[in-house]
Amino acid sequence: MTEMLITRPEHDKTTHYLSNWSKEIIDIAEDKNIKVFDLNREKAIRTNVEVRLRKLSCNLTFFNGHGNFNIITGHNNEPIIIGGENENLLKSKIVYAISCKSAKELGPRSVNAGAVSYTGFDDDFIFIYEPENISRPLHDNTAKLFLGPSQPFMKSLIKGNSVREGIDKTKKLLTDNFLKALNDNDRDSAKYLWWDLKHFVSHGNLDAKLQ
Amino acid sequence: MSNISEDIKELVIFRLEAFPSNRKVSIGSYGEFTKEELIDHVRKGDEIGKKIADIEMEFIRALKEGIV
Amino acid sequence: MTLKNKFLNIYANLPLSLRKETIIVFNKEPLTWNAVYVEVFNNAKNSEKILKKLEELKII
Repeated sequence: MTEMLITRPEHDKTTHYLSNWSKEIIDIAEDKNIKVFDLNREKAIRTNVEVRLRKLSCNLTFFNGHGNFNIITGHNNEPIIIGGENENLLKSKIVYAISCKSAKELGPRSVNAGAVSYTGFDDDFIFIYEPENISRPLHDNTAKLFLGPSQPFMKSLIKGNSVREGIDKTKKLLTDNFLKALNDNDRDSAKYLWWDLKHFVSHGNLDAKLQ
Repeated sequence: MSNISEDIKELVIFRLEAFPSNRKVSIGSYGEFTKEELIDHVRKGDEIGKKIADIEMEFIRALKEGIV
Repeated sequence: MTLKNKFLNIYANLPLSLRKETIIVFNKEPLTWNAVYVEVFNNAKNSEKILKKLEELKII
């Protein structure tokens, strides 16, 4: 049975948005009989992540949160994956990390340590949102331009497609939203969508699929 | 990261003035900002200000190569 | 290629909505792509200075 680990801290507005926009992936995965370990809010801490990664026979991890070039963080910005300390726990896993900058150094390190692939951002992930929708992030049509594209990668993998196909779908949606923003004279959204598209990268075996 | 030149500061601030007042932007681990806060950081030339200015200038310069 | 030609080539390729963006502050005045185009098209007296400044900023 395929198993998936997802981290969803929610300690600030950014992680609140990321958490809500990634929740749908849990439902989709469970519909496909994937066992999901959801480390939400204060559960998104290093000890829990390490325990799950050591136990999991799977293959799929989805990190939401902040980060830096060599770390992914969880609840209250506590590091949960640190290059040079525990990236070996990502061995044999397909990793997707909406965690700023981590694909720059932690990504290649993880692949060197045996991760199948690591997809994410090699610089800051940026999005615009509507403060009046903070309590209903899924109704935020501005944030949707940025966070909608965070879903196709996982949806595509769960359906049995390769990492490469997931990347292509994500890039297509980011590009489509960029063009839509230009057409709507939303130049600020266009600018930051361009930034996110530019910094969306992947390392490792792009032909890999979930077994 | 070098300081933001006065020319670039001036330009970036004018561009940021067009950012909608009813929106905020989340920039990685730096946090969430209103238009006024973005402008303030650029004026100060601090780490966040330099990041914001870098993003603006990278975007404008990318237009040379054809952004679409 | 002259600076004027460089500018016109870039301008021609810009999406319409982006042409309304400020790209330079000249004599304390913000100028958009469109505003610079007018100066450059008409070979206005400041157009050469504006183009040089755009070049210094690596925008053209």
